[in-house]
Amino acid sequence: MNIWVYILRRTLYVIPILFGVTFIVFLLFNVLNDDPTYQLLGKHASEERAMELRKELGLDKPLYMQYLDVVKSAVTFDFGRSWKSKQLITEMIREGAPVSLSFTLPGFFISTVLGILISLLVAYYRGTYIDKFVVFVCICGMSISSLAYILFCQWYFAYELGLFEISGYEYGFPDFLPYVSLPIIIWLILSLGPDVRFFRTIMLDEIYQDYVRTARAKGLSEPYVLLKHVLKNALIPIITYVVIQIPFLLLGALLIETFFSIPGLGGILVKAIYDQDFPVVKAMTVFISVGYIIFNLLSDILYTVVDPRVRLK
Amino acid sequence: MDEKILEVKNLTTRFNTPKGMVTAVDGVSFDVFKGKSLGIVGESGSGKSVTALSIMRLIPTPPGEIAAGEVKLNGEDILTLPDLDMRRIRGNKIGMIFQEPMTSLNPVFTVGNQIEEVIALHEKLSKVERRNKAIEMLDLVGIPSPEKRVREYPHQLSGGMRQRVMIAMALACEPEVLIADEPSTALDVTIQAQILELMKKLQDELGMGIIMITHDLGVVAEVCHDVAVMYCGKIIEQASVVDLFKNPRHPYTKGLISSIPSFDSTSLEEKKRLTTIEGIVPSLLDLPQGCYFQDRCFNVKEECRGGQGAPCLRSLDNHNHMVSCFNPI
Ligand SMILES: Nc1ncnc2c1ncn2[C@@H]1O[C@H](COP(=O)(O)OP(=O)(O)OP(=O)(O)O)[C@@H](O)[C@H]1O
Ligand SMILES: [Mg+2]
Repeated sequence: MNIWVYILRRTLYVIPILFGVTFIVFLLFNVLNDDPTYQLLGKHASEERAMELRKELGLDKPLYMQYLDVVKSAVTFDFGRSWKSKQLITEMIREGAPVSLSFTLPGFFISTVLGILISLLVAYYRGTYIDKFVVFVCICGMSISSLAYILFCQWYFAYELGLFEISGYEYGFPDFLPYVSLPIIIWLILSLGPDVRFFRTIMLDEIYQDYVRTARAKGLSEPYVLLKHVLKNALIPIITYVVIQIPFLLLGALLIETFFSIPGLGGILVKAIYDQDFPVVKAMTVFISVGYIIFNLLSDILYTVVDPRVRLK
Repeated sequence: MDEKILEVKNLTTRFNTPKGMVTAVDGVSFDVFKGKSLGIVGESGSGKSVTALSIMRLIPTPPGEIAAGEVKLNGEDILTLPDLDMRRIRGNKIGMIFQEPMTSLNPVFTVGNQIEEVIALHEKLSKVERRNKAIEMLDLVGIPSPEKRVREYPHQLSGGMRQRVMIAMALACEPEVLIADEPSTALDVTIQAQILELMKKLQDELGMGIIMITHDLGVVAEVCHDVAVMYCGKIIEQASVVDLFKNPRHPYTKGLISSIPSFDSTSLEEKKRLTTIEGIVPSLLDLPQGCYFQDRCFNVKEECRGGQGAPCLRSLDNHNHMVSCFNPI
């Protein structure tokens, strides 16, 4: 099958998925949710004001129209305004997403590359004390709560040593660097453990395959076998794992953003939940779902580039 | 006199398993001659693959370890070579093909890429010359329209085709020795015959020595000049193919030969008399004192039970026929 036909077909699959996802969001926010009118206006608001507000929020429309509104928002990314700040949600996203990305993207990138390199190294030293030590460190690292890392790093590196800012944010490069350094380090500590462990399992799965023995029998050196033969096969599962994480980077890390007072999307979402700012929560849900669908599609397409066997199916 | 290229002497390989030390190859010696094929036969677990991998120094360490012996390639012991020099021998002086054609090729690289890789490693050729040589090799192993196939991935080829590609890869640098570890076992019968035929033809053309590992004496009869029979890591009988079939001296060899259906014995009665060897191979972790074959042997005597230790491989009346048995038949 031609690769373009495959991509087209795979892209068309997105349509039913989009309808399904928006339907769930619609059920959660429009059907199962109580009428928020009086909550917003106060218990004793006049019937007129209530009607007016319902109209403004689109709640007077029949249900199927409300559903279509959700679908429309998923395509146009026009989510209306926040109940709380009255700001356009699209604008909030446009402001918050880069802030989140300013620390999640470097963290994610470094963690992935470093994780792959470490797992290759561990695969090279498989079964030795180096291998066991790395696994031990990973498991220890994963057993400690992320809260502990955040508090310790804030106290030690920022307060005691004064290396970084304890919290806050400043817009624009390079002003944000002192604010995001610590979050990046914490992100690395949190994700390297699971990354290395996952990548290591994949590498070890591949390293015992017959084709690796064939490669060695040709006289290739072990590093070459790892970097060419093992790595390219390992990339197939790794790509799925990695690409699927990207939409969540937009959302930032809820806990890190809250503790460091970083005005990213994660912080915005947490605040919206406290404030019962439903349109914002709903918008974030739709936004991340659509991101997930798109990157899922992307990882499937990347798959065919790395794995020649997929195209025939 | 035949020219000796590979000389294996007293090769011993052990594995440190959780249940104890296992000697998978125990003092094995044989010679490989230019243009000749040596068959190594034996049941599953007798140490055939470990012997082959030991010669290539591809035993996973740990748990494995080559504990003793010499492997001399043109007189030079390759077991003591530094890693770098050993890598110059693998794929270049000694080629190897494996039992599993379906999984032995890397699924994400083209056939051409994988053949060119071994050429690039051992020969100074330009990119275009490498591609041409890969096509030439595919043509040599009988793959139709090699210019097209060279750009295909392993999953686009059948099992037999893949094994041909493996052969092309192993022979691309014209090795002096080809180790074939059950090259035809995983294939269906007609393809098996084609692969064996191809290997014979290539040996005539290129003149390499072949170590043909198999559990099928029929294969040995078809392609080999000499044969070594392995049992529990030891060679228990070694002879020219003609001698071995005509006059097997070890009860185990005799058992193996009489378990091959012969074409002459067409009557049902004859077929029924096809004997199999009773009993199972003893575990390498729990080998008996004396001869390892004693419990399955129809000819067992008191001395086989351990009083005199294990029997040694010695030559009988005919200098080239060696057997390791206290009571050869
Ligand atoms: N990686 C390993 N770890 C531990 N023991 C091993 C390992 N590889 C081989 N062995 C031991 O060596 C013995 C011989 O194995 P080998 O693969 O050489 O048998 P074989 O004669 O090739 O059999 P087959 O016909 O099934 O391929 C096995 O019984 C096993 O106990
Ligand atoms: Mg084997």
